[in-house]
Amino acid sequence: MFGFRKKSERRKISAVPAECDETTGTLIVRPQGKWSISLGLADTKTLQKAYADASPKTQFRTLRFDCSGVTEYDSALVCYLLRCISFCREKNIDADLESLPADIRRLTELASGSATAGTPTRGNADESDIFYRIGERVTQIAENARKQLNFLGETVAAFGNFFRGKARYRGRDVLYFIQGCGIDALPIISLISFITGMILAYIGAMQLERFGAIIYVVSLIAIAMYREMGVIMTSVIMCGRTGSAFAAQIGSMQASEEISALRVLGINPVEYLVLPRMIALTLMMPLLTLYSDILGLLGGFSVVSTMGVTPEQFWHQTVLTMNLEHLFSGLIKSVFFGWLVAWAGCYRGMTAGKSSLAVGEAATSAAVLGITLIVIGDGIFAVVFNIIGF
Amino acid sequence: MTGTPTEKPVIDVRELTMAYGFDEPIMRDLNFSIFPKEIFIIMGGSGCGKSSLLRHLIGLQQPRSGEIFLFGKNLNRCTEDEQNALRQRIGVMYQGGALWSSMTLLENVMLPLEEFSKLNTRERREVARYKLALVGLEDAADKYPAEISGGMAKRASIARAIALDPEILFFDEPGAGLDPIASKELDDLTLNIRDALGTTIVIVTHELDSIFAVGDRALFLDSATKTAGALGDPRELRETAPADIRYFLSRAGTLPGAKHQAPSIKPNTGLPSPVTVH
Repeated sequence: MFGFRKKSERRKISAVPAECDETTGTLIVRPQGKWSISLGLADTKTLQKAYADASPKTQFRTLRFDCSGVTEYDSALVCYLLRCISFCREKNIDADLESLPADIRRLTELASGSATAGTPTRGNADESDIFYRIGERVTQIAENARKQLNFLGETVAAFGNFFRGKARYRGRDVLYFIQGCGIDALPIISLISFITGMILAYIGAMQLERFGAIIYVVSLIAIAMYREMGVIMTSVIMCGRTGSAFAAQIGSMQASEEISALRVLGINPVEYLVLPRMIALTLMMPLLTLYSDILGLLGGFSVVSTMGVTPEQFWHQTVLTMNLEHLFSGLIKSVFFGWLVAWAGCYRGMTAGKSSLAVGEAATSAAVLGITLIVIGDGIFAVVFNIIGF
Repeated sequence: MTGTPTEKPVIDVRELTMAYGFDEPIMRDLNFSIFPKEIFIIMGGSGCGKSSLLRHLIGLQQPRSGEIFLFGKNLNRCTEDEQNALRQRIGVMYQGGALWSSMTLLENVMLPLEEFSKLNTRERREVARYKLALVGLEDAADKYPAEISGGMAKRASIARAIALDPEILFFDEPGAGLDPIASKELDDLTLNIRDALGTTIVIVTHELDSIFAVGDRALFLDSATKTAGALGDPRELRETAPADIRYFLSRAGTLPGAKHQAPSIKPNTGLPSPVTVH
């Protein structure tokens, strides 16, 4: 009804008659009737059967085509002919293309010509070989490690130049990125931090309410926000928001050769493009973290106030719990995480390929790499702070 | 206007072999010199290594072996500072323009001046406007790269490349993606720049019209033998070069006496027929 044919209605292409002239060693196939892609492709079973059924003494020389019975054809016939030809190649038989009508012959010749020319030009390694694949993978990993170390070195050198006042970058860019990754990020950070504070309050209250120790929920919120949640939440947001943006910006510049243009001018792209981004994010991260901490406390207060904690009690308990160690353990981490997030974004951008697809991949992998580095970094900080009793 | 070989070459390439990673070399044993004020064409079929050679000449890629001398200095043996100093004496126009997309055309041309000259902002703006006027883009100075056409992007890229009055200009596929008229205008601009500023110009291209219109000498890279096929005046190469290079050069329909026609195939097969160049 809608133009779809039921499966049962679909005609199948009929088997192609094939025969063998044993005296001359000639195989003959006779394609018949209407050939269309919509009818499906024909196989060479009949040809193989004719080949196998011939007496063992037969010397096969040529395969002839008799297309006199063909009424209509498209690529389906050519595909069938190509199958026959590749069968002939296997068995070392000449396929007699002269026996084809001129128009079909030209198509077949064009296609079979390129099929023979398709020999691999790069090495002879079998790509499905397990050792080949292991080797390929190992060199890939080594190459990636080399690239990462290389870029780490370049960024450290760029920071070295920056501290010596020799780096070539534009101060205007730093301000621009500070606005982009600092001020513009405030709304999303407010929302996430406020909700995080609320969640912490509910989780703490679930247990502490049983002991009538609601007031200690306040301590829990303060410590958790300042030590961990504030910095982690901010870092993850910046990773998805800013790190991947850095990767996409630099990656698309890579794709359009803008970075080559800088390099040829004698401008170091790591100083010119990477440095301002890393400085901006490293500067902004502690401030954003502090902001996030405060918003988290407010979120927590909005919950505990419904459980009978007055603002005075909340303030008093927070001041009682907090000390500079809690505050600084979060802020120190935030500086490092800011650096890592910006580094991951810029690294993926600088090493992106030269296509539009590569830009998208760079943005995605920058977010993944950034979050991985943050969690690993946080683990290391946890161990170190524990050892030094911070 | 061909540079006389008695002059000191500005670029000297000796036994250059290029390769990516551990792959087979894409070109080997290239030897040629480029002399002051000449327009030197690097030509050859698609994918034969023309653009790679250009990237080697401007020091963006390291050769597998061999040496490249730029203004008499070995490009791959000098310190980064020396390399940067050399790079300020060259300008490059990239295939797609490669304009910095976050800046207007004027700012694009001003950036090299900002980094490498002692001019103040007003002077820089004046110089940049003059360079844009040279390429006929003074009206588009405040547009962003995304707002202009491909031909204009190439012109703007040339304006940026000549910002620091370089001694050598490199053009990567200047005619690619342009209609014949815009391509012709770009050729005229190329000749004007050479004649007015006395710049040496190295062009990577396969556009035959441009090769004959502007080229003083041409280097043909042969992808079959993976080495230089011929070097000389393109008009002479048309007569004297090996057969396959003559064939490459004779495909330009505008040439007098070159009436080569592609074998005609009646388009009854549903296949796209080879385009005949008129």
